[in-house]
Amino acid sequence: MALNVLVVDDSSVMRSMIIKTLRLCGVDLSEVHEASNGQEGLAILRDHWVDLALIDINMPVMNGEQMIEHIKSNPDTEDLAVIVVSTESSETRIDKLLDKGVQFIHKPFTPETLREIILTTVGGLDEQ
Amino acid sequence: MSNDIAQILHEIAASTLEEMCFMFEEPDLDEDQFHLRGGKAALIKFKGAFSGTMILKASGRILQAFGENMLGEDELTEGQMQDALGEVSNVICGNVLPEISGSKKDVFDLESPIIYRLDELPEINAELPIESVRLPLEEGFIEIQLIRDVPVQVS
Repeated sequence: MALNVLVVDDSSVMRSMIIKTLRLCGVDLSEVHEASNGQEGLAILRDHWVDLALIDINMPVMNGEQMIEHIKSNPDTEDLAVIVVSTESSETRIDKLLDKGVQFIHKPFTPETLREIILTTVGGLDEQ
Repeated sequence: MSNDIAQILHEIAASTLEEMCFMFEEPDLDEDQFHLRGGKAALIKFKGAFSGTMILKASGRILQAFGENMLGEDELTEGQMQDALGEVSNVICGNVLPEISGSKKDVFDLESPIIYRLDELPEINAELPIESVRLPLEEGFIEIQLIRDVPVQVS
């Protein structure tokens, strides 16, 4: 199944790296959307069908935690598969995020780790 | 204590650059080849279990290598190279702080990286504890400084 993916990170280089890594690790991508903060990301979710969102935490305007709050409190998006991609290392904060039903991947990451997390999150990717 | 923090900075910077930029430590590079020509610095302020600032300085050649290796492209804009420097610094800082604090439960808030020309960097208060490391890479050196607002006990 080809996935519509949203990548939310205030670093354009990191967004490009994540998209490149998704392709490298064999994820079949259909539409790829990019946003530089949570507010832009929510606007994309309002206008497009997205299967998987990869979201950074530390961003200006609206951070990742706030964006996830909005996603999980909206019936239209509450089931969206979300992976937090962050340098966050605090177990306190990571546990709080996991309690919201999202997955977590720590920067820096390898393509293999990302693929494994995506398989856990959306499941059933076609082997390539 | 100081040596431990320097070692943490060195090890995490080296592993981050390997994983993010495919850039490897070059132990044979001589310290007298150290220079930061055409370079920039990323400055990140942080608060949490302890507070302070991390500064990563890199030469123009290193900046280009960060961008090229992260994006897989040869022609980069100045903005892309600065963005790459900021992201590398952010990942190093985010990983270094909990290692220094010694507790996975400690929380840190990092501000967005600010990029400076080297001659425009704000002056550091000389009374604050500063750890500084130079990491030799194939493309040259990077220099990382960690300035703590108060001393911290490394566990």
